[in-house]
Amino acid sequence: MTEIKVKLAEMRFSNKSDDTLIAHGLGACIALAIFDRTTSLGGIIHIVMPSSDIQSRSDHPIRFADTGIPLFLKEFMQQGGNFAACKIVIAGGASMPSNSMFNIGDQNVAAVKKALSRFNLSVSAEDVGGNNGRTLNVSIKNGVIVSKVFGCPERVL
Amino acid sequence: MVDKDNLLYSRIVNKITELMPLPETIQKVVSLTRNPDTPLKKISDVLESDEAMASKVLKLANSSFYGFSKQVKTISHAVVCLGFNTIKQMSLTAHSFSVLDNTLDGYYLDKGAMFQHSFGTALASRLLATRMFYPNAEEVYLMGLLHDVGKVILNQYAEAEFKKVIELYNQGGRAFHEAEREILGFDHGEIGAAVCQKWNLSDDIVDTIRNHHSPEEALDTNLSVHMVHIANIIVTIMGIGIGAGGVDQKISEKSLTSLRLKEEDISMLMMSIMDELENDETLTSFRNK
Repeated sequence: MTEIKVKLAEMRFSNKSDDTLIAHGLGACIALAIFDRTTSLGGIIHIVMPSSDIQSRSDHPIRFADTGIPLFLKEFMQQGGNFAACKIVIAGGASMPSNSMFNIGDQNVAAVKKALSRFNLSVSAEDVGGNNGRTLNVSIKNGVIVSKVFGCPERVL
Repeated sequence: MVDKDNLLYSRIVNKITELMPLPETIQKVVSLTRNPDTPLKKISDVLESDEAMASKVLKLANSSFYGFSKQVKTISHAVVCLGFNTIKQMSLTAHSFSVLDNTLDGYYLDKGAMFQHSFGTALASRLLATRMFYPNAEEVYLMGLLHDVGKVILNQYAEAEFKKVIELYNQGGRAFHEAEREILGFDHGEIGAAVCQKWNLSDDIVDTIRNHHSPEEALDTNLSVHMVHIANIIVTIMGIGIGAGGVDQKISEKSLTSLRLKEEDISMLMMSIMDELENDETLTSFRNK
């Protein structure tokens, strides 16, 4: 089995049955996973912030939900992905309840869903919010997408 | 403060010199730099006598943060260009990288995550220091790098007790350092402070490491504790090296006020941290693997 790590502000795809895509250490960030059961193409994008408004130059579109999601979906299509046969899940978006200045997690969840809705897409399952760090992985072999919080059982999304 | 009768604390503190020794070269550099009249050559001689340490200090001196247009090739040149306080911080930074890189995986700590988190916090602390025109940004970088060094010791030397801390923390409702205080009677900041004391580091470093989760309890004159407190929180939110832990931490209003931070600054800082993480060459040059 080959583990493909998807780090901050990265996106990765695979259709090799040996591969597992994995996004570790999701705090307020969101990992959005997609899997097409007809082609076995899977992908993860690791979004850090909701909006690219704060960065005038667009050197790093994958960091943001509003610019990263369109790029990710375009790449998925170019690699042969079929939206009609895919499932989309998200995990992450943790927040610090003690101070609203740091509630980037909630904003990230909303921004990711908004970006998807522009393409008439929505998430079929999610493990978001709270204050836990998470890991999300996609097994290309069977399309199983699992979210994991330390010390808790795995959750199949 | 730790109860003076806390046996676990005394046992750990008595073991620190053995568990986390400071190499002789750095001990000499720290001691020489305490006297402002020490000739620069004396410091160069000490560092040059330790080839491995000299090469690490040169790597740091040539990192983009210092922005020299020509490569700094010798220790004596580095000492002249940077002054001996910076050289002292660099020696300590180089050593701290190796301490973190030699951390053992444990029940709680994942070595890679610990390294990433400490490195990210160091970069973020320095960003906040530079933003505040703080005179000694390198020292704040070092504090960021060392802020969780107490966890490394607890993970190795008090594993059974540390496991109980994690079980309590996993029940929810309290921050990690609060669970430590409930179970152990002290938190990892106290152990980190004890390490810094054994290493003869400055009072500000000791105070910041001790209070990075409770900056209200730090000395009023200590601004660096607020930088490391906020840096740690931002890096945690970003999920950088959070490993097994969560993001639930108490944010000090005093720190936000002291650093004059507004909501929009947090997003900008996150972007700057990402830029630094992508561009900083220190991580790749200092890690063994």
